[in-house]
Amino acid sequence: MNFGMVQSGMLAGLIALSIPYIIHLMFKQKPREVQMGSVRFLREIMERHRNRKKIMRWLLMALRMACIALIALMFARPFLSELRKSDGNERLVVVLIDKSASMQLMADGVSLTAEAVAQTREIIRDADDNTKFEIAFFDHQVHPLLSQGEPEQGSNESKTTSRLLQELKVPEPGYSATDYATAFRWAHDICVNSKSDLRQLHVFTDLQQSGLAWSDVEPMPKEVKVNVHDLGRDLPNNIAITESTPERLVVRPRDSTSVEVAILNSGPFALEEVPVKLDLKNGTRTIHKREKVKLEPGSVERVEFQLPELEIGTWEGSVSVETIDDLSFDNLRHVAVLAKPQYRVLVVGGDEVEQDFLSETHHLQSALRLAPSGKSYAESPYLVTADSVDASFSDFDVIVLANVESVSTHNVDRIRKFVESGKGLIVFGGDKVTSMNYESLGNAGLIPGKLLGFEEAIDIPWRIDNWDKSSSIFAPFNDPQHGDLRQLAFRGLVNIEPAKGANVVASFRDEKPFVVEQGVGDQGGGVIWISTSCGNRWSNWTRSNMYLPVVHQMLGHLTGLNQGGPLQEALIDTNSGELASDTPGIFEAGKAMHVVNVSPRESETERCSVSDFASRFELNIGDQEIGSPAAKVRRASFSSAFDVRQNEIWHWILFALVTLGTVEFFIANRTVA
Amino acid sequence: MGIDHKSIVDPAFFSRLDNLELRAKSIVEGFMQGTHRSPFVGYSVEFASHREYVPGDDLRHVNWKLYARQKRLYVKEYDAETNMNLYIYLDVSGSMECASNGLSKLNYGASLAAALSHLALKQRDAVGLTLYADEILGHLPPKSTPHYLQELLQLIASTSARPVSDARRALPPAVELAKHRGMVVIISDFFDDTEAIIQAIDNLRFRRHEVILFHILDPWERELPDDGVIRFQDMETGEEIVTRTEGIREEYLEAIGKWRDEIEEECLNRSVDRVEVTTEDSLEKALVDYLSKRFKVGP
Repeated sequence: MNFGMVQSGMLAGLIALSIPYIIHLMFKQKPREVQMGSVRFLREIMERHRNRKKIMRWLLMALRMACIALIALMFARPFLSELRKSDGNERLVVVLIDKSASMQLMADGVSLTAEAVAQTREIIRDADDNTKFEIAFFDHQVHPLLSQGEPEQGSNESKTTSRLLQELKVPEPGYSATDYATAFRWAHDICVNSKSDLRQLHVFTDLQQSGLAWSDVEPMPKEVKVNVHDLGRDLPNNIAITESTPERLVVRPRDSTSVEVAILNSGPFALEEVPVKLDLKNGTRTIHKREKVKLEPGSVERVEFQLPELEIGTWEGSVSVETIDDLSFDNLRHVAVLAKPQYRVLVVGGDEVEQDFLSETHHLQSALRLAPSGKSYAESPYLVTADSVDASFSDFDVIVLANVESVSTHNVDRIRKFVESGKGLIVFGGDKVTSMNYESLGNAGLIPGKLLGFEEAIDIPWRIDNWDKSSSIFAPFNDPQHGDLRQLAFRGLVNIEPAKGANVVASFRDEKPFVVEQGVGDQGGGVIWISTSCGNRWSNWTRSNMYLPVVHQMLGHLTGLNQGGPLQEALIDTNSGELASDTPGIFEAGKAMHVVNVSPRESETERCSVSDFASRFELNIGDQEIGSPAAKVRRASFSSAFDVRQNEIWHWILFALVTLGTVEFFIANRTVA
Repeated sequence: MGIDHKSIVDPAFFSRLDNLELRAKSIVEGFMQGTHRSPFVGYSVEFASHREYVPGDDLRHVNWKLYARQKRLYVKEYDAETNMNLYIYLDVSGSMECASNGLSKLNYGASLAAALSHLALKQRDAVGLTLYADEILGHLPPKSTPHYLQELLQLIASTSARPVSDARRALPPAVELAKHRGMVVIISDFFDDTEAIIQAIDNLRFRRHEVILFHILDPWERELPDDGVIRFQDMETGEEIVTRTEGIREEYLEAIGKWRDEIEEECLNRSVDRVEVTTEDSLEKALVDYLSKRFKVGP
């Protein structure tokens, strides 16, 4: 058997405990005065038992010290842990601990996650030396701890059980959604790759139904015995805001919009007049709205907050429900609305024609003035201005140079500063684009390569042969249903040798670049080089239905619209991608702002049974009682000093203490002072 | 000295003592009908009164002169008088001052001595008193005058107790003081050299004295106080012993029982009466018990 202490700190009380005991003994020994005619018989007895007395005194002292030690030991609450007989076979114990937001539910004064950690610690303590542990917390991701057998950095020693116990701590409250599939994939890989004879999987979770995502999971090997520890509680009282969606995230200044809020009552009781409020702030200006809703059990009520005309700026805030429930993480949801004007695009054309529609940039300007279909904005996000390169750049976000013959050094310097400040530059090729004319631009780093000169297709036109599937410019065309880029035919191009660090986004045959991009400065500014002209002089692409989306994608790539725009909503969930933070809030992420909220899946408190859980993931749950209620799960005694472990032995110590105390009393009464 | 003079001459006590005398007398008379004789049989022939002759009366006691005048036979009656010498040895050592229940052994012994003296003087016996500890501290030779009791009491009250006792030194001269044959009553706790005490008894028996030991003990000396840690102090030597009474009670009772049995056996071997009393026992009961025993067994 192994020994452990629930409250080993109590052993330090040995000294303190001895003080009152000694005081007690001092007072206890104070003798009464009695005069006797003769003490000769007493003296004879005392002399006769002098040696025995000495032994008894030592025995008494030993007994009293043992009593003190037992008292301290009793308060330290030792427990016995069963030590499995080591048969030489290596065991693998994989532990998955749910740390999703719903595990913040409190049970007996501690969170479910804390309880799971405590039970895991027990499992570790109970294990023998041949057991190797692989422990991970999971939500929508897996967060593995360093395994027991894994060598530590800078040390050749394997991790001992004590170190494992030391590192296994209750994590900070999480806000992520549950995804069992991700966790089981991790556990599956470990179990399959393990050569251990005995493999065991412990899953500590609240069996939240929303975590049973129907993604494919390889079934766990049959020889892996799975213990599902159901820590959850049925029918928790939870009021949650599951949705807070502005009608438009981005509005024009002095436009108004609305915020639609969904409130879920997953508790068992109906609630009347639950206050829901919206608070937004933009600098010193604030908006406060308040509504009251009636919530039936299991229902979702919707409230729409109509916002007034919004001044320019970011309106940040939250929607919250004023109630007290078991899960507080979803009582508030962050919301933001950005009031900003359109992106301004300066188009500088190189040809001089009297009729605008004959100009080379006519198609480009027309395309940019059109609004793409979509919900985000009803008009084009771009306000296009055709002007010369001498115009002021201060109001613009992107400059387009279309077959501009030459740019003065002064303007090159202005353009460079413009791009370095985080803005964008698009350069189209053309017959005026020569290495000599563009030397100054190239020297300023505004041409992503070395211009090699004009090339013309003699027999076969150039067609787009390859493009970067991950680039936001052509990503929509990865699906041929959105258009086949290979149909575009180009008769001429300005060849370029891409510079080091430049990215060839798309290319023709013979790897002649079609689109090359390069970042400029550290503010997120960039240059996009298109080797062909923006008009129909060298190609038919202006007449193609792909022209408009391609140029919008190019502008969107530079302005950030392709990445979701200046204001993006995100959920802490499986498909959330890269998040600015794994906690709810409003955060800056490059050129954009992220409004991060908890996944509404975590607010759903419906639970599945152990058997449903096991059948969903094809688990061999061994001898575990299927469908055992949470109450049957043994509550470990961890942080709560009032919980009692089943294997504690303090009552035996108390029995020993009483026995020793009785013996001490018996001996003390028969031992002369 | 720790003797309370008032307690010795307490009228109530002596009133009870008179009753005791009556009771003792009745006991004696009762026993006289049997095979025993009074321990206080004297030789005095002091005339008391006449009564009519009944058959069986000794003709020597017939008053023939009165017969000549009255023509009736009367016999002379005499008060019983003895000339017995009663020697009372009272131990006044420091150990006799032990008084766990408020009454010291010395007080108890003094009362007992006074009672015996009173009884003896009432019967016109001569009573002598010797106080001893480590030596003889006071002595009054035997006298039978009725007012002699006051002198005896005065001696008891005026003598200071000695801190220590020494029977080997004090008893031999005390024995020498009992010159005439009689009865010797030794009142003590006998916390002393037992051999010296037995030696003194032997000397007294050799001189044909009747010897009676009143062995007075304090209740705590016989059974130890209640449970607990107690610092015992020897009243003669000042020696202190701290102990738990629960732990040694059995052994103590065994030891003191063995000592008492030893004294008892020595007394039995020498036909000496030993009466053991504690200061909790009533004085009257002690005397009655003694007299009862005395007349049952008889010399």
